[in-house]
Amino acid sequence: MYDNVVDSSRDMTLLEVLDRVLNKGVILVGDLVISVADIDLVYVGVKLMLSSVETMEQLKDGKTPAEVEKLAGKTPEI
Amino acid sequence: MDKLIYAILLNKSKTDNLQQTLSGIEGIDKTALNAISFRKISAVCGSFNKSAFAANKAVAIAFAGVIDELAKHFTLLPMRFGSFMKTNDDIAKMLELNHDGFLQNLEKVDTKLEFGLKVFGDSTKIQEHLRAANPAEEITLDENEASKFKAYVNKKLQAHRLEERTLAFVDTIVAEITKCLKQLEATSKIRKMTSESILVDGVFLVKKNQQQQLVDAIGDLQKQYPEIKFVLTGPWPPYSFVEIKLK
Repeated sequence: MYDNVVDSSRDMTLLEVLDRVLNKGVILVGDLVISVADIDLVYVGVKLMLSSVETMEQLKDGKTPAEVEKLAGKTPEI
Repeated sequence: MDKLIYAILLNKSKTDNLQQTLSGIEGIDKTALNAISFRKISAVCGSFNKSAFAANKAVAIAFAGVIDELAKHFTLLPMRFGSFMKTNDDIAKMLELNHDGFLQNLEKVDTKLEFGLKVFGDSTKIQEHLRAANPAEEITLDENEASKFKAYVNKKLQAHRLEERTLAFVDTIVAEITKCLKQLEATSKIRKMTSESILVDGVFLVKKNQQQQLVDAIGDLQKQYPEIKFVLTGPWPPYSFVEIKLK
């Protein structure tokens, strides 16, 4: 069960990253690669969602997102 | 070779220091990074053959990784994935033409971090919760009145009221979030009900030294509303707060 939660969390972070690099930022007119293969930006449903509070608690203890990532062996949610 | 641009950054130090910092950061495919500067702003780019550029998920993530690394050292505006220009001169011209706009945007995001917040809710559960919280509003018909027509109208009316209550619930959540952000003097962009399960989708720009207060505030909201899920992501480079139309 917990593994599913972690995987979903990783998916969520991945989607957030892709959403930003593909849809946001400074746009150059006319010379942009707009077709990106193998990317499907669909958010997983709430039933697959994960606990972010645990990660927040670790950050409260003064750990940086990178340290949290290292400790958890996963991509941090925050 | 074409030039893939990663970011536009605010160059607070001497150009020598900039190049030195960049030499410690690799671009995607381990390529070197170069800076093209105009006054106080610089474009960070790498050389690529555009026709051979693999626009796939792995490369997009690597691109984000380079921007993330750059953001550790500089105030920057991320470029959208796959932004190419032909020559260094083209980039220099673009920087010159858009200098004021870039500078304005860079000053706006200087010493700040972007966070994303998504509030997920199972709409069925929320409606069950709201229905249980307002039992008096349930309309019941006695058997004599229960014609098919009345039953239909009744069902529609209840669904409408439930939808109104769900929207009011989301408004309450947004008001709570906005209250927290006001205390942090954060800039925000918030959208409501972007899908059936995403009740709130927001991005915030907060001062670096207020990161912990934001995390604490969202943690408190999560405790206050255990029936929904608050997912805070970040810190991100300021992707969502770039507001410039290039000339």
